[in-house]
Amino acid sequence: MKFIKKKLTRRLVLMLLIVTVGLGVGAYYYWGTEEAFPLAYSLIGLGIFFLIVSAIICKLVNSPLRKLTKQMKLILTGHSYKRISTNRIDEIGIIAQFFNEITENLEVISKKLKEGGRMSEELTVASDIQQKLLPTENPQVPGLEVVTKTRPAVEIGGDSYDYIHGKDATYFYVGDVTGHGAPAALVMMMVNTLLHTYSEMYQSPYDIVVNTNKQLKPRIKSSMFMTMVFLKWDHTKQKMTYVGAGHEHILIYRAKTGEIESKESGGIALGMTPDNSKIIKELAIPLEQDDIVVLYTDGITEAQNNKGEMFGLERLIELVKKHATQYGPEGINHHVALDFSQFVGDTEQADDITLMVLKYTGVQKAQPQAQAPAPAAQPVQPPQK
Amino acid sequence: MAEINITPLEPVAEKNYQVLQVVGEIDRDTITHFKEIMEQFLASFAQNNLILDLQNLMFTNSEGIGYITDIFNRLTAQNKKVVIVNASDRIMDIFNLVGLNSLIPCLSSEQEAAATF
Repeated sequence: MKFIKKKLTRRLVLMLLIVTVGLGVGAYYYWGTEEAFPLAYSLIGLGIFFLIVSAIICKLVNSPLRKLTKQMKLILTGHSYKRISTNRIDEIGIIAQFFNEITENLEVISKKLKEGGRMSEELTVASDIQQKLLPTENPQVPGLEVVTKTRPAVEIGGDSYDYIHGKDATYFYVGDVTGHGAPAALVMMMVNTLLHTYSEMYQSPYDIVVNTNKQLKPRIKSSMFMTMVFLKWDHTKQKMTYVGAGHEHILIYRAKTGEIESKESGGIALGMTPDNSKIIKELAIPLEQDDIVVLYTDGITEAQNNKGEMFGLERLIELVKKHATQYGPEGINHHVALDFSQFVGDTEQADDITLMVLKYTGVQKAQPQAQAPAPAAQPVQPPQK
Repeated sequence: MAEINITPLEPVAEKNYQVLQVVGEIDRDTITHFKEIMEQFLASFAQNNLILDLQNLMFTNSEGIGYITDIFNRLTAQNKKVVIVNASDRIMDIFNLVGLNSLIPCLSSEQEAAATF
């Protein structure tokens, strides 16, 4: 019989056999002399007793164990397994209970592992998108020297910037999408694509931003938006204009006076309203030679140090003012970044930080470049290290 | 840790509006809770006009602004009005920056808001 092979049952049945034989021998000596029970009857009775008790043992011990071992074999060989339903309160019940709890924990752990993997994958995708959108080098623009630095937060914030080369003009933008991770990355990608597309169709930053917003709004969650400053630099006129979409201030360093002008970006963030045409405006930023324009994201001004102090706009203005007297865009970026790091120390920052510095290098330098056949390929002076 | 809470006042039948006081700070820690309690409130909001009283709102991050914009868009789609009143200078600075005040009327008192309904 198959169940005899099972170790535990075999032992029980063997013990039972010994008990039965013992009983038989005992009964024989006790009643044997009275002739009331012939030997044959006694043997038959004991045989039946043995079979019944064996069957009970088999039922009580062996079959639940078999259920358990079956599920255990399944889990060990990586197959799908079931909970063991039992209401026994003996050792077998405890083992079954133990099995159920362990497997339940296993399920939770493996689910968490999968979820964690998915999350970190999502973050990788988001940071990939963000990195791919960022220009790899500073642009060659007649009359302007431009350097931008960005530092993504651990959990991707929504900063993005780009340089777009249009007909006789270059467009620059710095933007910040609400939220973090993949949704923010997708919005910045959409905006980037739309701005590039409309920059080929329209000359005016106003038209580019109005149309970008019109296409963006119905495609994103109604709680998401992107703030942005969109600049246009006209190569031939050497003039700068901008459209603000609810972004941070625009800082303008005046070389003549050494002072900083802080202009509100104005307008409304992209994606907030289906039609922003009545709210946004194109405005001019008149520049003289060596004036510097600075765009930034709130990751800088809202950064906090370990005392809970905010970096703040005033501090940024003071730093730009200080460094603009002696450095170009590269140097300003470098030194502001140093001062920023010193301020925040090792306090982890939750947001991306971006700083774009544009210097009007002047007509004299701009003239030969503007006449060059391919301005984009023309080397402007190398950035100051 | 920051906290956020909302207190709906008794609806005013005459002008069909209700004032909702928002108290605390909306930041990364509180935004989820803020959304939950707002959704509960909105589910039972039956008036035509909503006044958000932000006198005791100390801070909001951009997600908070996004969510308020979302509420404005949803109620506007149902032909309902949303007005913000009593926002502190600090909050108004943030609203000015992203341009929220050119979307949602920001007024100085409940009376002023009620007059627009």
